[in-house]
Amino acid sequence: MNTGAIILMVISLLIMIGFFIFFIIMDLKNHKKEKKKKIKTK
Amino acid sequence: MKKQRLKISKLGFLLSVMGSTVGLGGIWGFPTQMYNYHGTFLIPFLICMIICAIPVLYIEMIIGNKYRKNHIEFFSEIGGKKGAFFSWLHSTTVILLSTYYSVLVSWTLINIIISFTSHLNNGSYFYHDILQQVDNQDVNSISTLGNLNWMVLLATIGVWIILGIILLGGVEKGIEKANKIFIPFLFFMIVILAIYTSTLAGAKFGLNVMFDLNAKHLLNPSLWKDAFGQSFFMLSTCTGTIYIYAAHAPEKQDNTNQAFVVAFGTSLIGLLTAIIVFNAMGAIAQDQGITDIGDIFKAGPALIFQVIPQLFGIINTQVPILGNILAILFFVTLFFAGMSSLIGQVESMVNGLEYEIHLKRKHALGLSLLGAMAISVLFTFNNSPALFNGLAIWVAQLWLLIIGFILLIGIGPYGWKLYDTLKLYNNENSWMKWKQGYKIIILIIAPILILINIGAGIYDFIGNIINATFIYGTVGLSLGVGLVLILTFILTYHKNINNSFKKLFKQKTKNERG
Repeated sequence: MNTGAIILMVISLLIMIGFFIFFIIMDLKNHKKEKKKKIKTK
Repeated sequence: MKKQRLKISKLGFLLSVMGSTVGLGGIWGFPTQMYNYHGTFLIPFLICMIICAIPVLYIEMIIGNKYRKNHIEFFSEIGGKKGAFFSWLHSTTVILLSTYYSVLVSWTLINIIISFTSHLNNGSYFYHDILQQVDNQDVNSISTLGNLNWMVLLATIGVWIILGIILLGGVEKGIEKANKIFIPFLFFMIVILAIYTSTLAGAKFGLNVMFDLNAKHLLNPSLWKDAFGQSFFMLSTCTGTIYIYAAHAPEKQDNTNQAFVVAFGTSLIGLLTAIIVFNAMGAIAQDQGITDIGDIFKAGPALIFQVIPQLFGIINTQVPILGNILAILFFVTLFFAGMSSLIGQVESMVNGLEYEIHLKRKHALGLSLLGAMAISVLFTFNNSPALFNGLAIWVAQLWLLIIGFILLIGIGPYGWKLYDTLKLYNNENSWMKWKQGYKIIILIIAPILILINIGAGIYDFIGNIINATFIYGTVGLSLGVGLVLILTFILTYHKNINNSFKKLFKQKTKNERG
């Protein structure tokens, strides 16, 4: 496989997988914060 | 009394939206664009997705989530009859989209059955023997549609029955549950198939073509137009489905973040599917001693239903039955992708009839299914596949763009009036705050991009009418434009129409008594 093609494949997969996981982590973090808030207000 | 919506979980919401966005169109659309522009396509695709498609997606999510209403209830309330017409346009467009989409899903069902037999080894069995397709078929009138294809008709009825059973449970008991099975399975299978096909002899050859980067292509306006179209249509915006799911989702969720999860998840599936397809084309080329992948490639549904089955036949010659197993898994994955999108398309109409016209869910579902199923028969003739494009150019392209444009610029104008309220709701609940620049992107740049694409779409349509009058002129205009507008008009003015009929009936009985 060409080096250029390998680089582009790796970069594009990293971008897609990276952002997908990043936003899922941010969502989970937000969820934890909300839970803490709810417990405090109770 | 107003019907109460049951809530779905955050995960259920994400999977349901992804079920709607991951569809058959993306599964052959993404590889087709990657073939046309190679790796260069990914750059404008990501830019267009972030600038235009994702903002429209999270606007729809926020509206549904904040107001706890579907698109029809919401726009009818803020825009009166104009708003109602605009919102019903979402539903009539996608219910017509479902008429030929269901036939494509039925093809995956037939292919699952073929995968159990030795006919799989004849790669073109489905396309040539079952569909009786020949390349460049000419359909220029209803009489040239050929015979009714009974196998496709039965499979299509089967798809509608399965759909009816899932939708009968509603968003909470039917759709959420189905998508919790469909989407994780689909994700898992696509990853497995992408890894497996990468190990095939010749796969490198396909990947070299797919990831070839040529910066000069970036100057090609068609690349930007197609990248915009692919990113916009892949996210199922402007169909009404997103509002419905968001109205059932937990209140005050971080919609902007959710939109990014959906967009990158859907794009990842698109990219992995393209890798599977290019690996397969590389392996087929190596097996047949072909040096140019272009000799194998076919755009649209043929790529999946005519080209890919050849690969399973080749695998069977190397390891008996492995090709059958992979084919079953592949087509079951496609069936799940198609069904999950079809669910969203039909729910857009059913939810509107249920909550705005106050029909019982059973009745709303029966009406939508029977109506759509009756039209879908038109697409089960031997030469019907040629008709898909005539309807698709309107219901899967132009109307969705027009709806997106109106949503952002607005009759009312919605976008400009709503922006500050939506911004406040987002900034209270999301870690991604909308800054000043967002307003320019959402209300100026995105609508301009959409408008340019509407112009390009109409230009293409006119060009196509000249070449294929029956497909584009008759089917495209009568179903894609005429039927959409008539249905939208009837649904918008159903009360007035109903009252007029009642008055007429009373007058008639008075006259008879008199």
